[in-house]
Amino acid sequence: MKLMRIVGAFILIITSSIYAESITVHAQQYGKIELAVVVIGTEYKELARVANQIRRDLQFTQQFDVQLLRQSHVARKTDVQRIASKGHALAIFLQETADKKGIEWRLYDTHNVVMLTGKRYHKRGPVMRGWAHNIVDQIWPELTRQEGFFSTKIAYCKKMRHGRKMHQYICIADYNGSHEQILVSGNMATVGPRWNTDVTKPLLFYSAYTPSNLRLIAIDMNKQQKVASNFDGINMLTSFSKDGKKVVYCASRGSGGCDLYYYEKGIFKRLTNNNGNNVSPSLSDDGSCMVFCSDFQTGNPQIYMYDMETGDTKRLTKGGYCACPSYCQKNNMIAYTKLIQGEMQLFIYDMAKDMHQQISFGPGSKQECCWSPCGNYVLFGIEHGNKSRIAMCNIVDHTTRYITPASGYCTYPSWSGIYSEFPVVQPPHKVT
Amino acid sequence: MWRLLHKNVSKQQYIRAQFILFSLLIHVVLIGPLLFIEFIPYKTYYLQANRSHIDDQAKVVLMPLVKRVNQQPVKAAISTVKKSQPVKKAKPKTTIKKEPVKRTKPQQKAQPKPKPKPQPKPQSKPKQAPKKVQQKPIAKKAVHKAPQKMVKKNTSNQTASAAAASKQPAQQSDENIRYVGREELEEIQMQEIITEKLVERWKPPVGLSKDLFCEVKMIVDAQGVVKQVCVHKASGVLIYDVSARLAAQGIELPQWARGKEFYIIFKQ
Repeated sequence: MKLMRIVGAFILIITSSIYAESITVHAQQYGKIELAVVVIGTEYKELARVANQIRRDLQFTQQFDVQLLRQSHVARKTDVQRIASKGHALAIFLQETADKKGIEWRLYDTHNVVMLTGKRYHKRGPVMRGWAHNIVDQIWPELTRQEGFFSTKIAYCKKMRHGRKMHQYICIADYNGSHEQILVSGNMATVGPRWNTDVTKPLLFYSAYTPSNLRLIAIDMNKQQKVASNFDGINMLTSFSKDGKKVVYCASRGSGGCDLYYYEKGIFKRLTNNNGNNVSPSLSDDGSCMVFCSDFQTGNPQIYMYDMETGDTKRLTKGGYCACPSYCQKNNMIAYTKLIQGEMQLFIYDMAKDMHQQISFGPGSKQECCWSPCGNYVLFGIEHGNKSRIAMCNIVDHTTRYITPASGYCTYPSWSGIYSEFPVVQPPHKVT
Repeated sequence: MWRLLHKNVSKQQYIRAQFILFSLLIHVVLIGPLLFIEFIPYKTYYLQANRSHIDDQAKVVLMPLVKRVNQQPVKAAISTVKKSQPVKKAKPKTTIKKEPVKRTKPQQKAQPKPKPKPQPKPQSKPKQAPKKVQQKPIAKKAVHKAPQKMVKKNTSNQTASAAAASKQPAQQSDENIRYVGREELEEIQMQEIITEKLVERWKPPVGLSKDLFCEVKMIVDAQGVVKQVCVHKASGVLIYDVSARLAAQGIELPQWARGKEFYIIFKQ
């Protein structure tokens, strides 16, 4: 009998498998996932602010429709089911730890009433929105299998007219352009801010015009400045490796042309030696290679790759007017700008596929692009008439959105790494 | 029954019975996996063949247009056909009856029993010829009794092709004919209805990789209610899987879907 049962079950399995149907569906429209952020506890004022910032961060990606909920007690199965019945597919429960030094978050699949993951975040830094950014950076890989970009800062040059005078600043802001703060202000014209890669001690390198040269200056978040390079002529546009030990920048050192120089552990060497101008270096994370822009071969600027070990230079673009390369080792792609019908447009070059792709098409000249730390966005300036704004482009769906207002003239954007403690300028100054 | 009682069965008979049972078991064990291996791919192939059939239909219809008219690019022509699919067309019976007549000799309409010959190979791109369709037995009656929806497709294709090249409407409509069995037709309809409903409902989040796909298992009970929806093969991206699951959850299915199990592949 036992044997017969086994045989019967076997046949049943076979027959049931046979009658399964298979269908393939392709997406024709996009939508948002409904997600609930639930604040647990009675004293939720502070936590509610953090939750609100988490909601803003998630909604910024345009992938989520987030609703804030409150709950006095710890989540039970019925609570999760109730949230599911409201149409929220996912839920994030936030709760402050007993010692008030941390925030616990739990991500739930409400349909299956399963906790997918949960972590405890220790509050770092004085800024409350920084805690929220940190938490979203923790949650983001669980949701999308991608690295977050929320605990990052962007820096850019900004020109503003006050009366008859035009003032120049170097500003920093959150990844979405909010909470803008002035880092450098003064009479000197400043250009080309670039972040270092130290996520614990952020430094911004920028170039300031002096009567004799364009000197490279480093500034920290307390506005303490130090001259980093003061050769004759141009000193600008630094690029660091991930560990922060290797740096490349361009300098003319009194000669007519501009060349690239490399610095590591007290070793200072010249990388390029040609008749052209070599600018905009972008070092890979491991410091093994670098892309840069040069006009030494064709007279027009082209994108080149420089192997740091062998010293070989390989040209990546064939003709045209190409500038401002930025290399992202995460996706092995180079973003650059190219002149198309009188306007600079954004391109990406996939190193693995050896394929160039135009990702911006609209009006306005795109300039000075750089990658987000996650490798999904390209930050750049769009110059249109006498206006210039900072915008970001999603390289997957090629959507572009402005992150600075139309009022100022913003150029030279630079995207920092992901900070463990969210940096702010001390003392803060707001742009009027 | 008396004879089958244990004490009444001789030892020899018992051994014989055991031997028969053993041989049966061996057969089941050997043939079972073979069936399992043979039937499932066959079934999957069957469905996919239908799907590709639909795709091929567009291509095959359009290839002659490109060849003969020599004006419209293939992609443009395909899109025209796809767009024109939902458009309601004229009576199906007349169109289908006419087609075999046109196929053999477009000028002589009075042939009593037209046998559809294999389609002429396109000169420029022979790759597009539908091999599977040609190999299949032509069920003429089944085509005549075809449900309206499938026929609508044929007619819509015809009109699209006719619109694309007005000079040779007879020859182009000739190429649109697809001979399918009744079961195939029903399964095509099944797929179409489910796919349409899922496409309407499925809205994956923007900005995710185009290479993602996930497989959702959907079990429909005897009442036609979706009893269980689970992600059978995850894409690895939670929000993508959730969006696919949500699409399958609230779907309303017709009667024939009752008591069935579906595997739905969601691709961007």
